[in-house]
Order: sequence, then C-alpha cells, then structure tokens
Amino acid sequence: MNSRHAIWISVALVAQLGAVEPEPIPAGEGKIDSVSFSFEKREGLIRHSGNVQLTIPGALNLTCEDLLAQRDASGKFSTIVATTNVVIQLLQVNDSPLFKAGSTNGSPVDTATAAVGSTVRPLETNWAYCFKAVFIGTNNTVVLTGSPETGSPRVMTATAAISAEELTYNRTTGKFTGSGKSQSRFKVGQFNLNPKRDGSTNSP
Amino acid sequence: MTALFRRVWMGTWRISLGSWMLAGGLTAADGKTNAVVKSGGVGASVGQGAGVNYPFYNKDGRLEANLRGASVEPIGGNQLRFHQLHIETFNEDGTPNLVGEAPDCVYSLATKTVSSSGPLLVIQSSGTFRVSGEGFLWEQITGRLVISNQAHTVFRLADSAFSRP
Repeated sequence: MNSRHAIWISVALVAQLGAVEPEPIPAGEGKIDSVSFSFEKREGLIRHSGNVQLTIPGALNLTCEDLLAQRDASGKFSTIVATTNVVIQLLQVNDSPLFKAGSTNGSPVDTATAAVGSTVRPLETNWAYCFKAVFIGTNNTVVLTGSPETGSPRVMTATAAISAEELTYNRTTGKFTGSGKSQSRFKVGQFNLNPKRDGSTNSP
Repeated sequence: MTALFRRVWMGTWRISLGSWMLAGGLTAADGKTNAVVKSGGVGASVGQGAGVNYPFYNKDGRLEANLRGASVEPIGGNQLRFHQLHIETFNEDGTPNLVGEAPDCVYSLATKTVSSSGPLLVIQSSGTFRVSGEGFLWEQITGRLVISNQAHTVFRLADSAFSRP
C-alpha cells in the first residue's frame, strides 16, 4: 500500500467517523449540549454556556447562549434561566387548552384574544422566541421577556402568534398570560366567522 | 524534596503523601473546609501501582472525596499526575454524590485542584445526571467543577424541572 492509498483510506475513515449519528437519548432522559459547563456545589448552581441546546425528546427543544439552573437545599430546581437568543420549541402532547380568555393591554391577562376557545392540538408544535426565559419552580411557570435589541417575546402556534412585553406560561394549566403591550395574530379560517347559507361554516 | 521520603514498600516505590504534604507546608485556603489528608490513613499514600488512593477529609474527619488512580507520580511544582483517575465525592451524610473518571489529569497540592485538557465523565451516584466533556478543572475545597469544551449533560426527566407538571 502506497502513501496515496493510505491517505484515501484515512479520509474514508474520517468521513465514516464524521457520519456517525449522535447517540440517541434514552427514554425518560433529556440532554444538554453546550460549549462549557460549570457546577458550583455550595450555591447549587449548574451552568451551561455557549451554543446551548437542550433536548427532551418529543416534548421540548431549547437553544440559547446561557442556561443557569439553581437547585435548592432539597436538590430540586428552584429556577432555571435561559438567556440570549432563546428559542423554545414546545411540542404539546396533550390537548389541554393553551389559550383561554381574551386580552387587553395593561394588567396581566390572557393574551390570545384571537385564539379564544382554541386549544393546542395533539402533537402541535409551538415556538417561543425571547431574550430571557425564566422557569420558577415555586409556581411552575416560565416567564418570557425581551430586550431592546430583540424586542418583545413572542409565541407562535399553528394558528396564532402572540407577543407581549412579558409572557408567562403556566405549566400546570398550560395557559399563556401576558402583560404590557400585547399583540395577537391569527388565522381567520379557524373561527366560524362566515356561516354559509346552508348553515355550515368555513371552519377547518 | 520528595526523594527524601521515598521508600521501598511492597516492592514498589511509594511516597508518604502525608509527610510530603506536611513538608510542603500545605494549608487549605478556606478554613471552613480545611481539608486534611490523613497520613497513615486508608490509602494515604501514592505511588506506582493499582488502586492508589488519595482521600480528602474535612476538619471534622468526614470523608469528602477520594481520588484513586491506576498510578500516580509527582511531576514537580507540588503537582501529582494521576493516570486513570477515579474520583468520588460524598455528601455530608456520607453517601456517595458524584463519581468521575478521567484518563489523565494533574492534582495540584498547592491549589487543591484537579485539572486536565483531556476528557472527563462525571456521573451522579443516584443516576440523576451524567456530564462529560473535554478539559476540566475541579476545585476540591469549593466543590466547583468546570468543563471547558464539548460539554454534554444527560439528565433523568423524573428528577428534573422538566418533568411534566
């Protein structure tokens, strides 16, 4: 075998190694990939920094630049803070209502005026974009906020898009509420706005 | 300095770590967690050979961590090189907390840190999570662990904040 053959074999081996699929995540587990990791035992802080990718198969994908989790004395996570270019892909696997009542500007209310009565369909994917996402363990909520550079946080579903100065997702009820200036966009076709003469509707 | 304490024991060259550390005048930076290596204690010696132990006790005599290497060698500058390091840390009640493995790393007697540019795998004893990466620093006194590159964490959903409400 001459040197040229050896080089080609090496290239082929490298190509093979590079094509290896990532290790699948076992059932019941999630994973976090990042550039760096730190664990502060005394403070109970766990931090992932740099190109953070959190994956919970079938439920959640989150990317950001910094993910800081704090555990309390009992070992439970009291807060988890994701910051900078936060993108959350939430795969709803139940049909619990995501949106409830109508919205007004000002005090915290349900934001999704447009989506009154709608529910998240099974296996529907929802997206959230924000500067900072804070999970608060005591009330099981996730608070999304923006920044002057990125603007307000926003949530997009298959049928609606909502934004507000602050969006709060209650994980127990599956409901989003917002505060501050809010905006909603929705697909008209999902509502029975144009009844036909025969009594049927245009709803999908 | 270390040559003064070398002696033949069980057919291998060994170093009395306790005497070596005392000779080095080592003290913990933090009085609250003043770690003391007990000379003459279980495995309180290093050298060439399998299962070389390096235990850490706090000021109350509680075992905080144990470093075990396939072989350990002094490399100067108050540093020890561990090959095939297996490190265990313990909770205050004595139960195991973290278990880590690194093929090659350096322990600094001066700063009480373990570091390496190579890989590290850490597993929480109860299986809650495991972390791996390339290049790390572990501070024995504070319990702080930093992995510098290619950090991968796998965690059990049932024990995490991401479990379903």
